[in-house]
Amino acid sequence: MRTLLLLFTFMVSLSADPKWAPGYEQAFALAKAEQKGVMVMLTQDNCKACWYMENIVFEDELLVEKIERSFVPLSLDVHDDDIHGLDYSGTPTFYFLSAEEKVIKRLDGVYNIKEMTAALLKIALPKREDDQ
Amino acid sequence: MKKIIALLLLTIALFAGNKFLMPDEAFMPSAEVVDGDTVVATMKLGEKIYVYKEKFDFTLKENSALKIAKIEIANKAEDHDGEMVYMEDIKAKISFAKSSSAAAQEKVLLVMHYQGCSEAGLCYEPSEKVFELEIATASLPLISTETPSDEIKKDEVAVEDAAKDEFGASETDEIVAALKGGSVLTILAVFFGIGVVLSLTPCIFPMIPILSSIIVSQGEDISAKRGFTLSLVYVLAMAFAYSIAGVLAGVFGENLQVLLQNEWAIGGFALVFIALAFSMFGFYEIGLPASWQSKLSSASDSASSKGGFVGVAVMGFLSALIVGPCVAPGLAGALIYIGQTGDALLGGVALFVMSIGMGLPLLLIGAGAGKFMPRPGGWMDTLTHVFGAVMLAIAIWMLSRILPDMVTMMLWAIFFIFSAVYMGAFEPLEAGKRGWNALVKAIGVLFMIYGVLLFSGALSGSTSMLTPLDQFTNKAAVVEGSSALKSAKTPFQIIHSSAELDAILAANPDKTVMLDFAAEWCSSCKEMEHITFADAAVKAKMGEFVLVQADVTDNTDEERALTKRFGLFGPPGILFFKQNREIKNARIIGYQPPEKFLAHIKKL
Repeated sequence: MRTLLLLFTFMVSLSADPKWAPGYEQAFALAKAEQKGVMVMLTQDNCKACWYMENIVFEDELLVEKIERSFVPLSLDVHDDDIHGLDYSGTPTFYFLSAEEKVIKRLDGVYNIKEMTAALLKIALPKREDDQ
Repeated sequence: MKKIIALLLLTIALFAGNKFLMPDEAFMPSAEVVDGDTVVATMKLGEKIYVYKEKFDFTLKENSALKIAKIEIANKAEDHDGEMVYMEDIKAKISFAKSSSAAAQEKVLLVMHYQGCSEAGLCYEPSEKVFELEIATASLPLISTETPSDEIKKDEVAVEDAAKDEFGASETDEIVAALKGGSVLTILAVFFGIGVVLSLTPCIFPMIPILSSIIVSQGEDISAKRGFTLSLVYVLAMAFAYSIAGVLAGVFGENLQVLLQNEWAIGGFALVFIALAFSMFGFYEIGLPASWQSKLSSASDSASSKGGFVGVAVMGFLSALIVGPCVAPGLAGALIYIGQTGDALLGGVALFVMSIGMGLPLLLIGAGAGKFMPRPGGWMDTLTHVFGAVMLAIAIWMLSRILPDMVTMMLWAIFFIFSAVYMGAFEPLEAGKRGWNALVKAIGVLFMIYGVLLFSGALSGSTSMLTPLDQFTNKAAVVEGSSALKSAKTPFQIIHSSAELDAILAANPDKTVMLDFAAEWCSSCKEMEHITFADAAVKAKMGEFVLVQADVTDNTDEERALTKRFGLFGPPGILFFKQNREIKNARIIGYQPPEKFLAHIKKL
């Protein structure tokens, strides 16, 4: 029984966060190379809703897998990072951008795992010009 | 009715959707000068908006002649998922101090700083609002060079925080508020009431045998009048001790509530109870008052009665210290008031009146003593022994706050086994002397059985007084194999809507209800279920609660409305309810390992 529990704990610990890109430019370079879009999460200190997204929602392996299949995840602090003119009324705010930095969809506020999964299904990446 | 409310909530949730207020709709700050030299600032909050306590502050811009001396916030910050926040419109009073160069009227730019979030799941940026105000400086105090304004503010916050002890905070806060807001008569009436209520708690129990034995020891010709006078002296001395100790502690800024809850104080008080208990059992007499009495007796002719009063007064004084930890809310409330306002007189008088209220039943006992108090010997001895046992029980109960559960349980086991022996559980009943003797022996035998069960339970690692054998039953389940394991899964009542929750809460007003928000797609919830809820000790403790699980797997409108009703973004989240209301500050968000979770639920 104990072994089972340990195994379970180990599996849970494997469900890691998204592989956040180190910066804005790197995220779009990677997106171009991998033919993906970029999911930008605008965040800040003292943001309970951001905490929920980072520690509960983005701990979900299946959701993270879905995001990473189509997008390079990028987290930007609205005070500390250059957010390249992305507008927001609060945090978290999510932008789903094409590799050419075109806005596909903006989501404001918190989303639970199920809602985020459903929202992702509705976001379609535009066909890239160099796609054959 | 409940269905209508549920429908209403659902409608609100549907319309609310994920639409958020703009910052200027969420936060509406304002400020005005009152009495010429004080500013009252208000922060009106939009629907479901809250502000972080530590992000709400005031500063002055470009003015060196005035400084902020004190910020008093009328609101009480609440725990919101581990953050202290203001959930309702905030009102703050800002007082100033001036430098010697200040003009009669000073123009100030007062900046209100704030940051907060919407419970719907959006956090706003830190913001500020500047107010241009004219302050009259004539009656302002001078800026003290020794105590810069920052320090004054800090002190004030510290006093405020001291009142916010874990779950017991609100009662103390209410008492402080009553002291600050009411007229002198109201305050005294409130404190007298608190005293009377406290007199009905077990805290007053130890005083009954103490006072009874003092009165009884006065001799056989004690009258009702003398009995009453003796108990009045006792109660006055007790009240005096309270006021002195309270005022001293209040003036020196020590929080007695915290002071009394450390292991030394609790251990010390427990020792006093044990000492008193053994004296009740007749192992020895309490020496101090008796020796004082005899010294005073030899001093003058009329001293035998005076000596009696002095002895009673000393015992009253000591009793006030012995029952100290029990009266924490009233005492702490008055102390915080004294600490905050420096009004030692009113605080002291309030404590005095409270103690008189506490002593009310003792006065009644004293008055009745001459007529009804049994003479020493006979069943009075038995009664004294029972009170001795009650004192030992109080000692164990107090020690349970500082000792590991297993040790406490062992002490209870020893207590019950010893009581059983003293009650004659093993002695044969004399023929022709059944009746009361048989009843006492039967109770003794029951105590013996319970004591032995507790003893075995404690040795097996159980910590539950109600189910001391849970360790044996759980192990049996493991031996029986996987099917038994499945059935041992913690049983929750599954709900999907607010209406279902309300029905359960209404049906269980006296029990603690634990509401666990979970979903199939929530990995933290699975961790809680497979690791934390599966832990034997956790399971045993959870057995005391009504367990409800809000399964929000389908994320239906009803399920979303239920989640939003408690300001949760989604699962996981565990809330606790008592008497139909959520227990403040008890909420858990995210995964917690068994030890941490157990420690948390034990505090409920």
